[in-house]
Amino acid sequence: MDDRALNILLVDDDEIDVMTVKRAFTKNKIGNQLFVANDGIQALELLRSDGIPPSRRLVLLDLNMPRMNGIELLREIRADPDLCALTVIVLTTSNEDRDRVEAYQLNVAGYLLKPVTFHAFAEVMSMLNKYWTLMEMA
Amino acid sequence: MVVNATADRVADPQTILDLLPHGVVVVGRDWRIAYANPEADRMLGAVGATLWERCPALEHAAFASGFRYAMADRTELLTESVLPSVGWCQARARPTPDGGLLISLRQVHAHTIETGQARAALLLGEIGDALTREDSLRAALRRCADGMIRNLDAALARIWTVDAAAQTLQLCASAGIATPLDGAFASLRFDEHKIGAIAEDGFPYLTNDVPTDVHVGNTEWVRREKITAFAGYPLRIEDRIVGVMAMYSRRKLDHDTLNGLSAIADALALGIASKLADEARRAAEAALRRHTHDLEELHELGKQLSAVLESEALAQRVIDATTRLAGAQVGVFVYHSADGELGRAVSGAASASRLAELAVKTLDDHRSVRAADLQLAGDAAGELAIASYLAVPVIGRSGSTIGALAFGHALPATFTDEIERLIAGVAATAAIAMDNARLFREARDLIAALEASNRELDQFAYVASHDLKAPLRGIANLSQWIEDDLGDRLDEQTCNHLQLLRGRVVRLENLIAGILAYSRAGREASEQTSVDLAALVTEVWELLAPPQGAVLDLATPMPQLRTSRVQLQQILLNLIGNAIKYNADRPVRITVAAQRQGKRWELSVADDGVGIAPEFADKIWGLFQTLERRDKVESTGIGLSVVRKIVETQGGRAWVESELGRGATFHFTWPADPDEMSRG
Repeated sequence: MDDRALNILLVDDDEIDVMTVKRAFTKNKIGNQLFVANDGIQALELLRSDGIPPSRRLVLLDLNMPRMNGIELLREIRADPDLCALTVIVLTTSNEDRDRVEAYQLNVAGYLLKPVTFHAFAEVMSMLNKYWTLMEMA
Repeated sequence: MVVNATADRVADPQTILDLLPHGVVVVGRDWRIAYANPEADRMLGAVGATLWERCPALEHAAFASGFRYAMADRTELLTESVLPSVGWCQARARPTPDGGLLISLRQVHAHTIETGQARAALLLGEIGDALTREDSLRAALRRCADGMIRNLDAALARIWTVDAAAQTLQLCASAGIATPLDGAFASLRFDEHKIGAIAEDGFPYLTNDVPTDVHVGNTEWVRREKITAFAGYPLRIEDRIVGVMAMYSRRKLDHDTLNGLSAIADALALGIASKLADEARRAAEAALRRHTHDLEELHELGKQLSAVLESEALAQRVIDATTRLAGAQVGVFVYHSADGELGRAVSGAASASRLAELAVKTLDDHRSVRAADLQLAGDAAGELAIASYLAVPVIGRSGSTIGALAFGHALPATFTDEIERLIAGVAATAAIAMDNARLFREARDLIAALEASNRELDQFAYVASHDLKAPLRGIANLSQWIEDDLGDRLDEQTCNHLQLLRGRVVRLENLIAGILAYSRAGREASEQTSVDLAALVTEVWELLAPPQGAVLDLATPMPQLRTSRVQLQQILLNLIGNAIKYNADRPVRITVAAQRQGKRWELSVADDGVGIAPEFADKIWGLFQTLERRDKVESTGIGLSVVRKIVETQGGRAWVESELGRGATFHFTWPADPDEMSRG
């Protein structure tokens, strides 16, 4: 494993969407470690404990989740001095302007719509891999 | 100096003049006093350089004109008239050699006048003076009664005037031995006592034997005061009795006195009539002023009412204005309010529960009520006593009573016919205003409900589409993985099945997106911007990424529009998109045109492709309607229904002209800004 490997937290309540991400990672041979939380509350628990290594964290965030949704989680993260610098990329089905605007106001690094077909999804993950590799090098 | 033989007799002219009981005055041509003896000083006054300055009263008496005449014509003149504070006087004016006048004045005392006629004449003069000079009728009649005592030596003189409305005689003046006006004879009906009988019959009553006349006076009083004679006269103008004059005397009344009294009665009657006419004129002027003031208030109220659209504020303005107009002390407006309760607006008091209760009756009865004396006493809660009461229903457009106005006043009979009519008029205006307020409120509520419904719909569509898409995605992915994982172990048929499966997923996703688009169509907040139509069409063309064979043609000059870009883009995407999609297998020419038709633009998208059978020209606009099976042409069947919905929201229409094999032209109308003109 690359010692510059990222610790990626995927926050999504949909089982199949989670499977899709994992499968896409595999297909693209993305070696970063993937952690999963099913809603915002679980995500916060993981982030605040040593469930996830404290450095080089990236969050892939779905918006529509039970208990605490994506935007609410994002607010919590930005309000917490220990977590506020986290890189967050939104990965969602919602094409609503208001979601997009709110997410960018909470300083997300990207807002991606989940493609319907798996192949398209895999391509998105490949692009994302190139992106954060680039960021690491910068 | 003439010296007489006996030295102790005074005979010089100066002393004679000093002792003379007549006034002697010598005036120059300019009326300046050259000489006046002491008696003249006493009669005319001693202050003033000219005759007129000394005695201004001369102007009002016959003396002035007489003296002037004598001065001008240089003739001798004898006049008689009244000098105030002196009495009846005789004056002789004789011209002097130097152009002036010598005037001698002789006071003629009452007791030196031999005939009763002369006395009566004197009294007439005084009465005339009193009636013209005094401002109030009472003061004038008082002077007349006094005059009767003085000049006719009466014991008691009284004058009554008629109150036509109440059919009574009111005692206005009393002089002599009994002067109060509020005693037993203060107000008499037409049949009461001798006085009333005189007024009713219209004939004078005269008697020189009062003690034995049972109809006249209180026998005890008559005996005590030694009253001998009574004369009562009706005061008449043509056939109208305006009052009664009565006189009691200790001496018998002679024929001449009675004749004189008759003349006096006529003079009094004339004077009273003229004074009453004066008062009537002043009352009419006051009524006119009030009327003008009322009209101004009504006008002001009208303006105010049309400006207020909120029911409570409106009701308060109405009751404030009408209470003022009616001259009431307290007013209340009860009305049916929006929530089904009875609204209440009060003017002139903190609360008016009793008045409001009475008003509710009028609300139910739909009729006006007016009472002169309700005799509703004030109560401990601070509510006013009410004697006069007026209630008027407020009747709305539909004919039903929407409220009632009620007014109260502590004094009885304050609300007249005129006031009732005035208030009824205002009530009609108020009804219209209240109706308008209600309609405005209903419209506002409807708009709010509509907005709430729209928001709900938006929310629903968003949630529905999201929640429906998630499992779709799952199905698509899973089927893909099955294929990927089992790939070479699957036979052709199973692969085909999986493909169809994924196809259906896409279709379903498109249908969901279509529903979302349809539900939103036409409802988005349309921001009006300047839109270059040619640029928009080109942009849509590029967005659609048409195949090689498709050509775009702009047939007419494209205008600049002021409109909602998003909506127009949606329509063009659908229409041009359809033209491309349904002719994907052939070269197709798509023509876009724009033409100004009055207040609207008519835009069209035409293709020379496969065409549509005319019998389906209407059907294609329906939701989910396709003309081909979805397996042949992948289509949601929503596009055209979206187009029609947006166009109809803008007040336009959309239709198609087509024949099978001859292509199709889709037309739609779009609102035009009045400032737009077609280019070129």
